[in-house]
Amino acid sequence: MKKSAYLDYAASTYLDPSVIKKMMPYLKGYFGNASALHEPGRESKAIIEKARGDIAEILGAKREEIIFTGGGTEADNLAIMGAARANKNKGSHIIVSKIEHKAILEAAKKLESEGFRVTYADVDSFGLIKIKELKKLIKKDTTLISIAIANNEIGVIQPIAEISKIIKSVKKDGFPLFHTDAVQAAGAISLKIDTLGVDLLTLNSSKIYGPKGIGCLYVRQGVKLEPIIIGGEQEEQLRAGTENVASIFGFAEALKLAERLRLKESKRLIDLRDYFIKNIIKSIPDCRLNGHPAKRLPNNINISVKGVEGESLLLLLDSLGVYVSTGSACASSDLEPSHVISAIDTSPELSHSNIRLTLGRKTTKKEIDYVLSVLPKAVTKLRTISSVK
Amino acid sequence: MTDKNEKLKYDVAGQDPYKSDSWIYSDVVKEHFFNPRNVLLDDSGYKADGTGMTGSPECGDVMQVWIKVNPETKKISDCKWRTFGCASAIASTSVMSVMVTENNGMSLEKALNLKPQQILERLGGLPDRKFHCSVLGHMALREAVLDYLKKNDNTGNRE
Amino acid sequence: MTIPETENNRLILKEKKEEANDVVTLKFCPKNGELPDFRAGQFVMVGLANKELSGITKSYTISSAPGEKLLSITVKRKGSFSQALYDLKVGGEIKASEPQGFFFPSENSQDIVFLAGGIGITPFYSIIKDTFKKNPDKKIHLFYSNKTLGDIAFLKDLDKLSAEYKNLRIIHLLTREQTRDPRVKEFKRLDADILKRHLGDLSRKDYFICGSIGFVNDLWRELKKAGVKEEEIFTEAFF
Repeated sequence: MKKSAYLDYAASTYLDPSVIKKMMPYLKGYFGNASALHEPGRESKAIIEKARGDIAEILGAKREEIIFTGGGTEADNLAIMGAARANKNKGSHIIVSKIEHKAILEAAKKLESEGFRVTYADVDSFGLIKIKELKKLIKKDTTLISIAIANNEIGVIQPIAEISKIIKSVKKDGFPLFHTDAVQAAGAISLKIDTLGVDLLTLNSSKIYGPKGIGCLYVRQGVKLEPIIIGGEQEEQLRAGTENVASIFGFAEALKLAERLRLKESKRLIDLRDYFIKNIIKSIPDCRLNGHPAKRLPNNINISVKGVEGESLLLLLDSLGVYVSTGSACASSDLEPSHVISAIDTSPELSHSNIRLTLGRKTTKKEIDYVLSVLPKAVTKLRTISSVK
Repeated sequence: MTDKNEKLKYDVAGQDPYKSDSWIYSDVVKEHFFNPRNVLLDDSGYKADGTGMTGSPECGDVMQVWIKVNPETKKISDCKWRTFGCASAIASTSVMSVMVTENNGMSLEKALNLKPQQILERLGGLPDRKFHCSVLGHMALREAVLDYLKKNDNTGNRE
Repeated sequence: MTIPETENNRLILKEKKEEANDVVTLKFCPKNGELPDFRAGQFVMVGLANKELSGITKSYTISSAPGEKLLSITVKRKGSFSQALYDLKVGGEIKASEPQGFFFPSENSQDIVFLAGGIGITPFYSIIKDTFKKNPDKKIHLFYSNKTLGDIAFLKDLDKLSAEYKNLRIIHLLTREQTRDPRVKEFKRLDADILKRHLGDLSRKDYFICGSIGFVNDLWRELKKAGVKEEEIFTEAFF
């Protein structure tokens, strides 16, 4: 059997078989429109509400505070554009970190074209928010601040509780609101709202072994949002559209499973991750880790390899059955290098030389050892033909 | 070889790779990426008659080309290279090096006028967003030829 | 691709002229010293003083001809860099590299055929002005393809040139609009049939293609299919 190692879990996870099994009845039946008043409709509504309650419990939130969306990107768009627009009378300044996901950055850019002011907060060379500077950035008319708990590219974990304390110390009439993208953090970090201290939080099912095309936005009671998908009364009039009952159910089950496995799985992944990092740094000269060595997602490895371009390394590994991703420009459709790597200020010559490996539930030490045996050889081959020494 | 590539073009998602936006791994590109030709492994002993370089690490592509020119025929007798870049960039430079050295070598005039489209054709096409890889390949070759002409007191201008 | 940090590379915007939809010509004078020498058809690498876009350089063909008082580039706004150039105010400053490139006919070229797609007109505009100043007997055919009438840059200036120079023939093509304007001869994408119709024999001419990657690659294939030799085709794709 061809040896392989899928190491792109941060991009996409498989649908957990136990979740598939539980979803089956809801795919085969329970097709009533949850907004209908008849019995099939009420049945579907009940399933959705149970799922909503389950997710709320994990977050320590009220069920009305969970709004289902078509994924993480949509929830991020709703948080940024929805909150800014709905609270325009309180101000028109928002702050997002430089390393947020494009779903947040592009939403912020859109707001700029509508007349809002956006400040892109700096991070240090590990990708950590410069907290002292952040406090200075908050103005009287700042209505929203968005900082992800954990970054999808370099895995850096922000001190969200500490940041929320600072925001609370200057909050007036509930502003600025604090949003966090928890898409990558789910399954690795506790999502208790009270501990995090946030007003808005994004989750995505497709990254936690759940079905794709479903996510949710936690919206603290009292926070006003302007919907971006309109034409129906669903989800407290914040997200129109006939609900995907089976996926909502699957999402809740996947999140419950991820929470049950969180502590054990995090420990297992941290061991594998650190084992890999230690050995790869040892076996490849001029190779460095991007992001913080400890304040880092349990499954995230991101390295820059001098003299080797990311896409070529990705494809060479692909031919060897190792599946990773890269922030190199050549691999992106807009030919721009990763904004995250550029923001942590690594030498610009390295901006095209990174690859990201993210571990998952099926990752074993055997797979890691296989990657450790082929990655250095792939790097050597590309360095042999490289014009950058 | 062209027929095989013709068949492959339409096998993969039935799309013309010239126009496609998604990465299509043509056999030729695959071949030159995994088994690149004419790589200069050790430049310490290599006596080049002309050398050229294009790109920068900040841009994600750097190509370096070394050529040897037959003084009598004024044709390129050898072409070596090294590339920092994606698979398309590596394959482009490799294919270019084969084109200028096959059939007893390309004349300098022809090499100066080698177009990215000719490299593209030999590769079996590249997606539009990879087109610049073939441009860089031909520019590095051009620099090498101009370098040779400068060193050998010939004018590099096309007048 | 960095521009050396000398004062000699700084240019100041003196004039701005709207040429077509989303297309503007920016005319510069040097901050210090003289304008650099260049050959018609060459380009410069441009850098902006703008903080967000500093460090990025993009190439722009010089649309003025050698000898003109000011150095021009003609910009079509598409992304953030070109938009910043488009918005540049008179008095604003840019950095420009030494002129470079080799996309121009040689002195002893055959009859010339220019195939321009959209903003790909820029090198040809410069070369046409320059060629007829020095050699009014040179035969040039310009096939200029655009989507609509409002997209045609340098329309009036090209009219003047073809009125003045009998050896300049201009054939406008529009791909997305019909019009009774007699200057527009064709209403479909440029292909070998159209070239044959206007040129007759396609051999013994030098062809220059400039435009988007798709435009250039399509016409390369068209010309070759029609039997034109590779040595007679020269290309410059804008991307």
